[in-house]
Amino acid sequence: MNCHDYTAMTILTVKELSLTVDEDGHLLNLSDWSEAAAEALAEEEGINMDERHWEVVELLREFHTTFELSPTMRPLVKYVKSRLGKDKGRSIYLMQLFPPSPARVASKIAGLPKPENCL
Amino acid sequence: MNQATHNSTDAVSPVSTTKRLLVVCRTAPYGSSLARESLETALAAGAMGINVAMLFIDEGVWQLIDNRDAHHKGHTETGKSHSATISALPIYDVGPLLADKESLSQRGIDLGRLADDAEIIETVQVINILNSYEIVLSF
Repeated sequence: MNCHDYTAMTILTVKELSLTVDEDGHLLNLSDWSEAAAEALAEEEGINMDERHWEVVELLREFHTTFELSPTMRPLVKYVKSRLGKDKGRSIYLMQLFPPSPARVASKIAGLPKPENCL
Repeated sequence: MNQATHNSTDAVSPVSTTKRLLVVCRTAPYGSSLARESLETALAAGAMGINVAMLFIDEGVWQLIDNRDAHHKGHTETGKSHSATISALPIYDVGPLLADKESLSQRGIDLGRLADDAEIIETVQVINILNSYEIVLSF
């Protein structure tokens, strides 16, 4: 699997938004992100955003600002645990919010690039 | 690359999770891609649950200088700040981050500028550290 393959891209149009995304549906321009964009990206994943989703999405954006990385599962769980406590810092909790792959799905909704190290 | 991956999975797994990995960094953060590659290796290993530590020695100690607050951040060709990635290592379970004392003093590096998670070691310890890891990768 090649993690850095930009061969395909599509335009996702939702309501008045026009978002350029890669073949996996991640935003190509991080600056295109907005709350409305997040809702549109979530809808693509069949997720209805509520406050539990938002707090994780906000953490992910903070993670990316601090470390310039999209977390994979282990660091995501660890980061959520350190910020939101151990009830939420569990993979099962994140799995329920962002099935089937929390690191990938939540990163997408947060407007971040695909997690690297996707070996 | 896919081909190589498939071939190697048929053989014995090259890295067993019980083996400990030491990533040795001997080059300055910018100017070549080696420093970046060493971090990517450590992050990937950490993300896969491998026990991985790093040793910064010779020119590699420059990598530990925290310049996240600098107005002009140094960036690699991938557009990423080295310090930002260094600060992410603990959350990827990479550690300890060992820094060779003699390399630091030879370069007159102010220890207050080092990344918070750096652990300074005496130069006489280096050989024992190198011997105590089953796998050593040098960058």
